[in-house]
Amino acid sequence: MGGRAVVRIKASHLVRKAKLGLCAASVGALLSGCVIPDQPAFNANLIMPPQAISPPAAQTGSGGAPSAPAPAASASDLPAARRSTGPVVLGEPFSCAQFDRLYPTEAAVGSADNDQVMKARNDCLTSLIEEIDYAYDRYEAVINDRIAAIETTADLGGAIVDAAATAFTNSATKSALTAVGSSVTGAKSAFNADVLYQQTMKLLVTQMRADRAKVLAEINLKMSDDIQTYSMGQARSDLNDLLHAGTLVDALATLSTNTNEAAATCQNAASATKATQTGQTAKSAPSSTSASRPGATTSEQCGAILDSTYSYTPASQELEALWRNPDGSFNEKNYDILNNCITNTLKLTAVLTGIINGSDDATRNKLLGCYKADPQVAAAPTPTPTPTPTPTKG
Amino acid sequence: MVQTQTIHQVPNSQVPRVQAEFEAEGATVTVTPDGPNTSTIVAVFPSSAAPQGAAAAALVK
Repeated sequence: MGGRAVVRIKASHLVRKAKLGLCAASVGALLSGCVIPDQPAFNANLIMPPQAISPPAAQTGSGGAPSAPAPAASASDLPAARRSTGPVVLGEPFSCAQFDRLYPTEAAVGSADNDQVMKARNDCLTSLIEEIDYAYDRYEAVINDRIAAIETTADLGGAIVDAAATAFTNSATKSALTAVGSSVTGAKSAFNADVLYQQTMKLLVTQMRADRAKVLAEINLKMSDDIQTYSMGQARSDLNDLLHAGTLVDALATLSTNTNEAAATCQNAASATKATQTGQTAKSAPSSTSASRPGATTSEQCGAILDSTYSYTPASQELEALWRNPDGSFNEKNYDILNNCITNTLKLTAVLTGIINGSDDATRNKLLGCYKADPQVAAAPTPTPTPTPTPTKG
Repeated sequence: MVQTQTIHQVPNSQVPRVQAEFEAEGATVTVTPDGPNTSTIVAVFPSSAAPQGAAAAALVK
């Protein structure tokens, strides 16, 4: 392995970047700078301004209010390593460099104590996630501040490009974002400015949050895997996903209608997952919304994160009896039939146990009906009733 | 993609049963108390698709 190792990149991710105009070189630049010993790796400057951006000049024309000062980070909010002026330097202390020093090769990883390697990997991940989170917070603050300052009277597209171009130092990324900004500018000419402001920008920011929450949830889960299951290379790839999830480019690529709900659901799930992994008490359920809708999640954005409150009824028992035998074993055939109903017939984003224990009877009854209509079940011979002994006449 | 199912306020008496069912479906389960008598169960599946019967059967202990 080691810092010079070729990091596996998801093919779909690269294709997506290429389609969006981000050249592979920019992704390569990110990765080549990731976790090389003694180097300020995983350069946050690619997504963030090196320091707090000065507020734009006050705009007073056309009813526009003077802009508020940019939310420069307070020195007291920053870790000691970052309180000095100048660029954000990731990895101080740079635990990922330490990982590569300790485990420079695959053989070194293989021969090391698994717990220690996992700890070094997770320390690296935690450190860089913190840095990326910090960078993202500043990035979002800059965007929000610019948008608030501009209101609907200024050039929204120009603001995006301005903020992004200030934030991004990588020329390829700048070019890509300039293209994005141009498209938004074009959109502005086609749509009402208020609609553009209220919908596009809020959705963009919310989408970035949702995307980041989803990636974070996945990383948090994988951190419990051993190094063979979740290698350092995979961890770097996930960090790259996290970094890109907090950009306007990715937000535009994944933007769709239920973004606010997606953000809330993903963040709740991410919080619950993280809490359980760290031994903390999970947050209480936001019960009413998701509990009443099994699998009612934001499948398009967050897809696979389901959240519900416990519910167990006679319909639950009936479903459970189809799958779980009295001796505790499980009926594989019925399990397959039920899952076919869930996935293909009813097209639910749910798992069977979730429906049994965290759903409503309407859904359970639909599933029972689907099961009974399945050809394998319908064609099965009806069990012959045990004949009742005829009382003999004495 | 990881699939996660969270169920809140599971009565502690039901936790072993629910946990066993999730594990039979191929999930990794974590349980955290969320009240004096209830817990939150988080089941994490390795992919977006729920494991099919064979995988579930293999996990039955």
